[in-house]
Amino acid sequence: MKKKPSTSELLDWLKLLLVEDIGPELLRERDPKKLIPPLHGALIKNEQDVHLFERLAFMARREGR
Amino acid sequence: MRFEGTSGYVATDDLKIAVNAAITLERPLLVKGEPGTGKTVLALEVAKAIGASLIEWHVKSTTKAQQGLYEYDAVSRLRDSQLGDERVKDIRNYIKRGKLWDAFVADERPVLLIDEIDKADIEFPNDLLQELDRMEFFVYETGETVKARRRPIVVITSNNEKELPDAFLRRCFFHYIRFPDADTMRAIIEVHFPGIKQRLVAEALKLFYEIREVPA
Repeated sequence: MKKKPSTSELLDWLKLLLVEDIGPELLRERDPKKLIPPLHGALIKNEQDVHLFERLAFMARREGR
Repeated sequence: MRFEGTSGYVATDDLKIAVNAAITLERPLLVKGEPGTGKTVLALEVAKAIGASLIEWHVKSTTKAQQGLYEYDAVSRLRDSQLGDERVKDIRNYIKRGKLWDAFVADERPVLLIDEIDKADIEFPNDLLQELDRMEFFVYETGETVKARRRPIVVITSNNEKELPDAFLRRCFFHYIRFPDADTMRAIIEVHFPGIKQRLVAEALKLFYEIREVPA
C-alpha cells in the first residue's frame, strides 16, 4: 500500500458501517462482483492502492483461498 | 501530576511513560507516528487529563518561528502615524503576541501543542531552540524579556516529512506512536463506539489489517 489506512480512518469506516447498517456477514462474504470491501473510500485513498488491492484479491480468489 | 490516559483516549503504557517523562524533565515531548494515529489528539487529552488549558499552534509551510513569539505590525503603525492616531506613541500597541507568548504568560501551566513541526522549513525548529530551552525570549521593539511564569508542557508532533535537526532532537523527549496492534485497536474502537457488536469489529479488523498488509 502506498498509503496505509490509519486508526482515524478505521474509526471513520466503522462509523459508516454502523450508519449504513452493514453487518459482519456482508464483510465476510463480500459481493462476488466486487473485490473490495464496502465503503472502502474511507480506508483507501488513492487509485493505485485500489487497483493493487483488487488485483491481489482477484489473484487470491483464483487460487481458491 | 501524572498522565494516565483518559476515558476518551486509549494510551498504551509506553505512551503514558513518555508523557510523564517529558513532564518530569520539563522538556518538549516530540511525538512521531503515521498520520491518523492520534498525535494531535494526545495534546488535547493530556490537557484534559491534568486540567490544563491547551494552546494550539498549527504549523504550515509558511510559518516562521518568530510568529510564535510575536509579530510587529509596522504597517499599521505607519498608517496611524500619518493619521495622527494617539496609539502610535506606544509601540506595544503594534506588537501581536504569538502562541509561545500566550503560553508563557498563562496563569495556570498550559499545554502547548506545536503541531506538524516538519511542515515548516528546516530553520524553524532551530529558531526555537533557545526559546524552548530557556522558556524566554527578547522583544527587540520594547526591550522587554518575556519569561515563562511556569514552563508549559510542550507537545510537538511530526509526520516525518523532514528530518529534524540534532540540536533540536537533543532537547526533546521522543516517542514514536507505533501502529496499534489488534488488541489496542479493539480498545480504541470500544472507546469510540461503546457496545459495538464484537462480530462486526472482528470482521472489520480482519479486512482492515488485510488492507494494511498489502505490500507497496
